[in-house]
Amino acid sequence: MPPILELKELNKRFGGITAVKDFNLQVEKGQIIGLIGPNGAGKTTLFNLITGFLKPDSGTIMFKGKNITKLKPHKIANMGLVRTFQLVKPFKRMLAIENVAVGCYSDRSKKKRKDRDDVPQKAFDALQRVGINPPNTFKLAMTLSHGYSRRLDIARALVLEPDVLLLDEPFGGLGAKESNLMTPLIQKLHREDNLTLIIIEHKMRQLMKIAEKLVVMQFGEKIAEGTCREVTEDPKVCEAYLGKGGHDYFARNK
Amino acid sequence: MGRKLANEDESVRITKDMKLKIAPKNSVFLALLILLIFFPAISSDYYILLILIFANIGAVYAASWDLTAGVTGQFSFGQILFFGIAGYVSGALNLFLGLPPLLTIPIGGAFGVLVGLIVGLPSLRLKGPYFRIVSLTFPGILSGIILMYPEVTGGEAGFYGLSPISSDIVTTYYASVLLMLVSIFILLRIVSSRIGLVFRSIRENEDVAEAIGINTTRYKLLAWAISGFFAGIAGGFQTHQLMTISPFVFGTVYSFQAILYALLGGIGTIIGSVGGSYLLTILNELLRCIADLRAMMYAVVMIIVYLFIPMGIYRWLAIRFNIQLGTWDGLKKLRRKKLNAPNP
Repeated sequence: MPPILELKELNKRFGGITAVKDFNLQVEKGQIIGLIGPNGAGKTTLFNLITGFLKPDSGTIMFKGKNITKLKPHKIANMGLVRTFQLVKPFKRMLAIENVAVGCYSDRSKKKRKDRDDVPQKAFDALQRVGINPPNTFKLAMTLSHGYSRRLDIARALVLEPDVLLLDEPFGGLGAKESNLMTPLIQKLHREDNLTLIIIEHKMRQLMKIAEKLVVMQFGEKIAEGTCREVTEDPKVCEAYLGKGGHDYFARNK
Repeated sequence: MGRKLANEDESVRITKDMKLKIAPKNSVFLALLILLIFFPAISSDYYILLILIFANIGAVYAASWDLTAGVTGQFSFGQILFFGIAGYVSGALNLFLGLPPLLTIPIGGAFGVLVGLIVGLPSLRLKGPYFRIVSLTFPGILSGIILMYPEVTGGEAGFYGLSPISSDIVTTYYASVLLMLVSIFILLRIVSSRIGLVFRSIRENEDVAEAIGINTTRYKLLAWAISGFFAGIAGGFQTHQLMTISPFVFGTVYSFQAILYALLGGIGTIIGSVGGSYLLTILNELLRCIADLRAMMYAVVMIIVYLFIPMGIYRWLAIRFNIQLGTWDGLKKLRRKKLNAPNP
């Protein structure tokens, strides 16, 4: 089976800085890929390139066998490739359920549903799936806690019934307790919807529990790819995070 | 309507000054409506009715601006473009083809839509301040074009001697009340519909709306077109009411008139524009007795209001009387299923 998402020789420069360089990646259907790397490695830029918010200088992005490199973000989302953002961006002055309902009026959701009347129920159910129940369902999004806002972001993406979901730091800013709830949530969504996930994350302990494969970036390049174990033992990865000699230090103190 | 928030007290406190669209208490609303309808029985003074007619036109005009700026978040400084172009089209149709106001005003509104689409297609792709600056320029361009072809447009004098709405001021008054009520009702319906839901999401965060599959350009154009229609109708009505139109209608000050009315009433509430329009139109007339200081007094009153109730009168009242904020009408369906959704 061909990969559901394929990046070929992606390049993106901002002035003199190379944000993404000769990036290749193949994502199989149903995979959970963790994308890690030090700050400024180009992870979010890569997400922006995939979802059409930025156009690559060169290279192609294939999704479900179609070239989506030059498409607009909403077109890409309607094909089933949906993202969340690194900083939570709820529609602040709208109710939580309204936040989710907006996605129900995208072309993709409209196509997938016959009866128009079930939209409010669908939004309600999507919120329930991520663990937001009344009265929080009917609160203004700006009054929700940070943990709920993260879930709201995911619920908003879920109503599009995506094939591939890109999560940008889903654990960012979450406490230990909330993180421990987020992990089973992501696993549940992956299992129930047969989602393909790419997750940017710095919290390695949580990511290791979820991801089948890790991709490590540094200075816009892919420096390692493999299972969690392979990657953590890769000297290049240790060097990226800890500097030269980091691997020896890591090995000594294991 | 008028039910208290279903949320806990704490969230009510936090959200108090953030309420966006609020349904008024039914009884107050009804009382004002009755006053509006039976006003000619209290006083059929030509001058007073004339002021109220202008207030009604201003309300539609300001509410049309509120749909793009307050609801969709595309803060335009050139709303007079639609008002003026529709006025000119209505005037021309009446003058050259002899069509009655009942026909020319809707056609003028249609031209408002057309101009909205033509102008919006390039300019709505701009964001934030860039859009605002560009929106400021269009009325100027149009008045320039009008002055370039005086043989068709009448140049600086414009069109005059147009048919009035009605020779009877009371009839004109009722026509303006009908225009205002129907327009405001339709705009409110749009805001609480699924289209309004998407409009509001674009105001809150355009990138996120785009990321969840909303064609934001298309929806912004739609908002612009609807806004153009209602501003156009107001423009056509005023042209026939005054029986004249000239290029001076495109002055920047008239774009700001819509903004002042809507801001005073409460931006994003649609209904607030009606209150804002009435208050400022009447204030403007009251201050006529101090002719020399009028503009300054007007400014002083505005500054005082914006300093102390920047969220606008309508939202300020809603907070005082704890009026439920209105929402997407899809919630009604959930209420029927007893899911404890708040009443929009």
